[in-house]
Amino acid sequence: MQQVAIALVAQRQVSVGVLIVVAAFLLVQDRLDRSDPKLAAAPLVPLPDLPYEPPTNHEDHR
Amino acid sequence: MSRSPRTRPTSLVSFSERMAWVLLVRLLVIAMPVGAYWLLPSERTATWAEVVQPAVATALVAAATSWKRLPRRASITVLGFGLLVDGVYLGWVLHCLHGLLGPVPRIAVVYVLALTLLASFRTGVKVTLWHSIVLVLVFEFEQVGILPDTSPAAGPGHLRWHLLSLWVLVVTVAAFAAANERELRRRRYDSDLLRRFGLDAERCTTGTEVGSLLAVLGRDELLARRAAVLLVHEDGAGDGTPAVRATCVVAQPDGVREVRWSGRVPAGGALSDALTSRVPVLRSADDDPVLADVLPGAGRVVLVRANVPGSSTVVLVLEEPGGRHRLRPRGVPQRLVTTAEQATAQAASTVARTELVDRLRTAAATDGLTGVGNRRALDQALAAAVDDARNAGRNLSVLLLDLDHFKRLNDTHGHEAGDDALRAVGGLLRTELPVGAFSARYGGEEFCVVLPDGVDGTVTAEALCRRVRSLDVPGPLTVSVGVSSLPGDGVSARELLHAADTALYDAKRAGRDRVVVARHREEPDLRVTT
Repeated sequence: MQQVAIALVAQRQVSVGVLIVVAAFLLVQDRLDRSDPKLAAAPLVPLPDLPYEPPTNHEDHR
Repeated sequence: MSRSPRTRPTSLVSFSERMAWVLLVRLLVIAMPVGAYWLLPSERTATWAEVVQPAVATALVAAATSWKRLPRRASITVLGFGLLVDGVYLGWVLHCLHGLLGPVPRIAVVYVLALTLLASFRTGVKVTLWHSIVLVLVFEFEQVGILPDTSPAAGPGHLRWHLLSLWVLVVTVAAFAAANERELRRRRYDSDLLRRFGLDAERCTTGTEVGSLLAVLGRDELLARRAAVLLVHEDGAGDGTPAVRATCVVAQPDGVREVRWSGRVPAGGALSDALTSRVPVLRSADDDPVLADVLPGAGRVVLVRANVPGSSTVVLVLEEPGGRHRLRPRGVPQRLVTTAEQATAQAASTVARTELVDRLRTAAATDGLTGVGNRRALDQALAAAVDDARNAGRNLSVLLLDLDHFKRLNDTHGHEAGDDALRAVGGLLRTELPVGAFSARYGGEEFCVVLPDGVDGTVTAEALCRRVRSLDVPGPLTVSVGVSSLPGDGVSARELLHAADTALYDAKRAGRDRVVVARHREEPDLRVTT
């Protein structure tokens, strides 16, 4: 990785083009899919099952 | 329906479930290059550590960026960051495993397709774009010497071919899956629509309420310019043109209105066609006088009919359904007509229920022989009338009628003659009493009439006496009547009936065939004595 970084600095012409393309993508990438209904409108968690009522304690009614 | 699908959040897979599946796929894809390194020695262009260490790091990032406890917005941003890291990782292992000629391009295809289907179509396209950028960079770096060239045999042609096939695949899958999903969403929407309609219709208590609900559904959900529901009762056919009475509920952009229509439905018109057709009728409304009254100026309409068992017919009329948001409406989507048919059938069964309840309620409150109210209906109506009159400070009269010598009539002419007499008096009470009056059979040969404020009880009773004398029944028929009034003779139903009964007894004692007005009870002495 260090070698790649050093080589990137050495090849300035390439790195400028690289940075422009990458920076442009990074700027817009979050906007590309954040409003998709599957991500933005779906419920956060699945709907829970409806619970049964707790059993009535007949002793209490006596 | 055909409007842009209004996605209901509850109909979507939850965000957390979707993220769990995405994480699983990401971990599998991260592990695949490690497996390829182990299984394909010939493809190795880097050391074991250079592949495994980034894989572990990326897997940790993937797990961290799928943490569920973040708010939704933050979760989407963090997921985006994790996908960027995935892209860099795939670019790196591409370099480590023989470049474009190695196994990683295929792994990348699996990765972007899985994300397209599991996350979202837009996410799939975004990831494909990022992967393309990284791929071009790795290729470029190898070409200019920033990275050692691990696949000298792979040229720009290989790169272009890989990117082309990747994009064609992703776009095709995304488009096909989107089309399928849209159709499924529409069907689910239709199903939800009918379910909600069914639940709402269950709460309706009259046919007009059901009609209003159906008309609003036609306007709002089936996208008609206007929608009308006709509850059609046929009164018989003559000259091949049925005479009908129709209660029409029209839903138009500015609200709902009710129209009553009666007359003959001319043959060949849109409504006539609908009443005789088993399938929906799609045609112009121009030549139909009924629709011209109900939906003035309507152009093309869809008519859907459903019979109410043993009673009336429900006809749903939709003006240009589904066309409101279309640039060039040519026809009507079949799915929309099917939904209209199902909703109309559901409405018809609900109308049948409300009409049945009405008939049962009427039967329970009606005396079967005479057609006037029965004793239970009298008790309820008199109590309500007394309460209303007392609250409003109005008067009220109660008439008790008893047929004179009814037993003699039965003994002389038979019980059928007695029944005829009762029926005749019942018919008289049903047809000749003033508006607002209520009549009921009090028991045996006795009837009770409740007269509202403004109607003279004595005058009405005398008129009834005269009319009874002229009834066409076997033998002479007369009636004695006792009249009481609120508040003079009592302030409760029981007191008024008692006063009228006493007056009736007086009429009988005085020789029958007459009217006797109850003597007012003594007014309380309000004077203060010292």
